[in-house]
Amino acid sequence: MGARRILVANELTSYRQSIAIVFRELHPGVEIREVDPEALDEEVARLVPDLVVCSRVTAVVRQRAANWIELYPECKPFSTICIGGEHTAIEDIELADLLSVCARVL
Amino acid sequence: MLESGTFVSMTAESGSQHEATRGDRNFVPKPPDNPSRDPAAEAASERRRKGRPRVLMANEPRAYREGIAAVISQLRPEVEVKTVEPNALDTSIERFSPDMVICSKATDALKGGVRVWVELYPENAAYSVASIGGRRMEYTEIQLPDLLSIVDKAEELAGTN
Repeated sequence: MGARRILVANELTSYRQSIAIVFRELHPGVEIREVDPEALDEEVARLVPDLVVCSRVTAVVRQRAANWIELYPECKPFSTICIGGEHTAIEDIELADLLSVCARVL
Repeated sequence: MLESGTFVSMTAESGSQHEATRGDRNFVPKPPDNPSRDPAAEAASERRRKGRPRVLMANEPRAYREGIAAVISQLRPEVEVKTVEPNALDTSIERFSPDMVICSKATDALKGGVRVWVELYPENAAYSVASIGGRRMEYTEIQLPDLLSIVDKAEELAGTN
């Protein structure tokens, strides 16, 4: 099995940084890459991550990432989780939900 | 390394704690023990007993509030961090007597009662505003290290009291 990767590309900066730190601490063997949302498509294509966390899922993410979390799109309280093509909508998602997804896909 | 204990060391109230059924691991913040009928007395009593700087987190949305709280708890273990719903901000200030508050919308009670606070991304904009001992700071795009630095300032100010 190759290196496991999570790409964290959600807005805004301190939010993205805090999520990335939590992931790094809980999954020290996983490469956690933190990028600006503008670089999302390019980095997804380049890294083919096991999980993508973003604020707005793109066509590239849908095509190239098996697992993704669309977190608070347009700052609304609804988020979407996709695991292996299965979508789940969550209102008022919690940090525990994000960690649960990590545990499932890694 | 972050452990589940880091997360349960945070306390949560006003409905922000959820059932521990949504994750594979129990990272759910633990509610406060023995809630007092006298909030002011409880705050004073706890402060005397613990003597730790206190940070109250009331920003939205939830996952980010919890994420930042987890990071502060991990990187500043001497700080007691509590998370509450934004609509519980004013009552929690009275009850918890925080040294610092992070919220999405600063209230009059906050501005009048807490020496250090951060209004984080109000209206979901990228800018943020902080007040540190009465000194106003504006950030076009605040970074996590900025927040940690403000926590350190709050700790310093709390130590001078």
